[in-house]
Amino acid sequence: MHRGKATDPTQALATLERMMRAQNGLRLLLMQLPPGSTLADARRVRERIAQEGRRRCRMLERALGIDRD
Amino acid sequence: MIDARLIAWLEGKKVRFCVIGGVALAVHGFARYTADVDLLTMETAVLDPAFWSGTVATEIRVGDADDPLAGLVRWPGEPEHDLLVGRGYAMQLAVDTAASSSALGCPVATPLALVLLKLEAGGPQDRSDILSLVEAQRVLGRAAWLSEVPSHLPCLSAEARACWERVEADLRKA
Repeated sequence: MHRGKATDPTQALATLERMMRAQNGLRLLLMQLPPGSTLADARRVRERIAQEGRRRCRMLERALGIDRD
Repeated sequence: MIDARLIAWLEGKKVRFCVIGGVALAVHGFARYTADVDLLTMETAVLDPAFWSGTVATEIRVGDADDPLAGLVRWPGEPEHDLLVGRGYAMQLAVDTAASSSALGCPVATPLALVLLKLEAGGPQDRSDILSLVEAQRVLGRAAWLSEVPSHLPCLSAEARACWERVEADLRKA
């Protein structure tokens, strides 16, 4: 599992803000998606991956196309 | 980082809420990428479209009866904000015990509450987040709350208790 580096909370918030603004997490994922995909598609894939490992929530999963039945 | 219009709207309507998710982790010393801002409330009044009349809130979803969430309200923007409407012990505790953050200008879930929320969510990312949050809090000398986790376990789901067993084993290895 990936372990983050502990930092002062002020630094951690500044780091988070930079990461959110750059959207590098989504951009890296976008590179793995079919041509023509958008950052919105990447966001949806990211949400789907996270939710698939989580406790079931039909409300969230319907919107993400997850069917565990 | 957090849309001031959303905060003002909730505060104006006297809705109790707190920040959870990746932003809350950063407030407590652990920064990891997140694509959105998650807020939590227990107040189902926010699931009524009339509550948001005159705002930019675009999407309201209502949870199924056995879902861990009562609903969700999406607030567009960059980053996108999700106001989750919670159910159950861990979510109630998160809202009840949230402390105001001067950095964000609104209440943020405590580290203990974040751990309980993540135990209930139970995914691999959630377990990883717990380990990293504990590590950050230990470095900061603020991890005394960790000893309180077991006293809350009887109030959590069986899945969350099983998740804690896995996390506890990983914490012993760390």
